[in-house]
Amino acid sequence: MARNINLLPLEFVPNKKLVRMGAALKKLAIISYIFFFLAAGSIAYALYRYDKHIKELRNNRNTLEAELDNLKKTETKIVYLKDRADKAQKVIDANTTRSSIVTFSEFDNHIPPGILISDMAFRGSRATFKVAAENSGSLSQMVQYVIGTTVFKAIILGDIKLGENGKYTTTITVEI
Amino acid sequence: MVNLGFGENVKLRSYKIVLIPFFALIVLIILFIYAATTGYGKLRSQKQIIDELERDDTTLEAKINNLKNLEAQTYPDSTEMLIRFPNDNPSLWMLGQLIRKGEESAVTLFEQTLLFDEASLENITVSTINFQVTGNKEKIFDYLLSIDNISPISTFDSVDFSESETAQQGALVSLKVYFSPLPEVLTNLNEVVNELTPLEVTTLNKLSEMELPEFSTLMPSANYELKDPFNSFQ
Repeated sequence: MARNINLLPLEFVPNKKLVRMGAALKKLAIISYIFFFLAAGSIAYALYRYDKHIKELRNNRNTLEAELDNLKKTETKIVYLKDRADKAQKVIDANTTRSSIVTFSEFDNHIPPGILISDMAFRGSRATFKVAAENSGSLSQMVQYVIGTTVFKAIILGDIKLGENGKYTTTITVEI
Repeated sequence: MVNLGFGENVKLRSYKIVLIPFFALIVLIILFIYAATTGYGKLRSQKQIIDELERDDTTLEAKINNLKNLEAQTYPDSTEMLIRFPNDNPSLWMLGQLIRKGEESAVTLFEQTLLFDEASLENITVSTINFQVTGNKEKIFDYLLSIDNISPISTFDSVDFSESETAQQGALVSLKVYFSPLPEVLTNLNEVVNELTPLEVTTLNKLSEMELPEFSTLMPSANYELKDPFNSFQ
């Protein structure tokens, strides 16, 4: 059996504690360096893979942009149509005077006999007109007809005047 | 301190055993901190770029598919829509349309005035046409209602019938015509183009029903010989 024989004087032998500590540190340093290089290598590899993926994505994006350029005409058409439709809708919504004229035109077709309507004025949803009645009976029928119709939201009946010719005149304002 | 005779003392040699791996560890720690911060930062920024690009690609693909679907659908002609809701002031040719429609409806138009006041309403510009119309009351009503079906888009501001107890009546009409500039920018690259909503389709169909004006194109006249005014024998 081989034996380790140290012939150095004892005062030349390094401190055993320090030697043990040094060996431990050396082992730790070696392991740490291995771990560090592995980690650094992994990071470098991940960066390389990411870089490659970015390049692929950029190429894909360029292809998609070129494809989108070909569809620009369709996009322009849709954007224009959308714009026109939205703006036209605002205008149509604001077209209350026309609705008043339509409603009044239908109302005017069924006025009782002996009634003459004149001086119609249309502003937005409000219509004002002058009513001339042959006699009180006709006027009464007219008032009943105006009240009876369901198309008006509000009715304002003006002063009733009796003219020298025996005709009754009044002004009616309706909210359509 | 014991000298070995080689210029090295034993105590220092003992410490060296510890100090060398210790400094190696310190260097490693510094390297590790540097590599970790730099590497992590770089990885993070790359990941961020990838996420953005992937998101953009997905949006672009969706936009392309969406546009391909839209391309396959049938929508009204956008050029015709620009006559029905123009981008330039259409007052003058609307006046022509009003006169033409008046002739068709057997009413007479006079004292037409154009007010280029161009009051703006939510990016829509308004111009006013005032005119007087005379004729039978029913015909005037029919005429007024027919205006809604002619291009460009218009609305009544006010209609005032003048006092008359005869069948012939007159009405003072204030008509608003609308126009609006076209959008100058398309949607962003990463924004999907929305399909037309049912309400938009209905509005466009309503616009499509409006009569288009008959724009006449002047053609060049044929060549003819100019007479020389100083040559009486010609």
